[in-house]
Amino acid sequence: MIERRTAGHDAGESPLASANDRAIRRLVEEHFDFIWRLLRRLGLSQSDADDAAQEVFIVAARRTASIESGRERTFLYGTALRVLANARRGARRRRETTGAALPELPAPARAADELIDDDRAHARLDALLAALPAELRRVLVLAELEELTAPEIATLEGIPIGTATSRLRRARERLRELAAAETERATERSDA
Amino acid sequence: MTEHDDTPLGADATLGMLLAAAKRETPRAEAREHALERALAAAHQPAPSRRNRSLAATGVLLALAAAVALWTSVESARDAPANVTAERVPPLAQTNPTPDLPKPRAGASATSEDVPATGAPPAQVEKPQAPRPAPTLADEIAQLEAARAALGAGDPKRALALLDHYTHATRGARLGDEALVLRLDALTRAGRGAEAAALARDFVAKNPGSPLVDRARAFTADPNAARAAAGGGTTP
Repeated sequence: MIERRTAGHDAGESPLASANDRAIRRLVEEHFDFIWRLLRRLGLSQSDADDAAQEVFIVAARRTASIESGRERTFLYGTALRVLANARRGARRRRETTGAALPELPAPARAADELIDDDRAHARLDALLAALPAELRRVLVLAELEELTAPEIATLEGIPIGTATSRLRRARERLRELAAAETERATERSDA
Repeated sequence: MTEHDDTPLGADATLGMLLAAAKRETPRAEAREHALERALAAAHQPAPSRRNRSLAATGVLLALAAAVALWTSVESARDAPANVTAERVPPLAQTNPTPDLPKPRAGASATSEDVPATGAPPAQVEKPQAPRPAPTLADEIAQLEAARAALGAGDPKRALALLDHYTHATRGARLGDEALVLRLDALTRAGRGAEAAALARDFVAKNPGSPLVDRARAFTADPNAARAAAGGGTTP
């Protein structure tokens, strides 16, 4: 006779619930900060990044069973970009209906050594990043802030490694030009 | 400008400072905890998307059914005497035949024993398969279910081979603990109780917080040795 027992398991949970919960917990522990920083550097405010990152992991939690092992970060990255696009569309609609103006970019600091406030630094970097095309911005953030390699970036973006490398090169070049132009403007203002 | 093209931006004083500040920015711990709570809650609720609702529900139900069967079988199989397992084939073995699994590659470093496929027709076991994408959680459950079915059919060696395959194919990423409990049971039934006990003790020591630690602890004493010490027969 087959004896089926379920008693004895902690809290009476099914093992899949337990396995799923562990998988979700691991996803959050290992990738939340990455996703949140990504969303921040791709243009969301801190509170919007909180909400969007949460949405990313809710989506992931509902699909844990279908995420390929070893491709969790790729799944989360793609989800984050979709959530980001939705968040931006929502923000655009709100602006259109309320007539609210776009937030002004912060004035650049006069010189690098006066940059003492991280919030100002974040805003200044984001202003520079905002001037990059989206595909260059993403690659730059992944390489410079998340310190991912070109193959890792290529995997996340779903592009050839050569394309990732050339985009990164163009992104760095463009950002240097932007930073130099900003510094030049700041110097002219201080001289005036 | 080209001399800078491949140089990280951190080498630039201004950009280096901006990037360093960005790297220091981290989410609030509360945001992370809240996301975890919401994600866990969402996992236990039906997906709201109209498009994906039925598919997701089917997947979850399938996975739940497989996992519940796996779990209860581990429970019942563990309690069974090692020499009467043949009559303890659980119902799922009748309706959910052992999934096809590729044979370990010749020369592969897997520790699988060369076990005949007693639980499935050879044609199924030797069915060639193209390189597969990384397994999903549902795949992992199916593989463990196959091992459990072999165990339930009284074939612990095949169960061990399937568990070796699981570990090799998935690196035990998500259901490693569940696989371990099955392995302990299979080793014990295969007459390798001492090995099971050592493995169980190691697991208990390294994973005191695992929800399966009590299951593993039940195997920490070698039943064969205990039986021998008591004057009973030993498992070959």
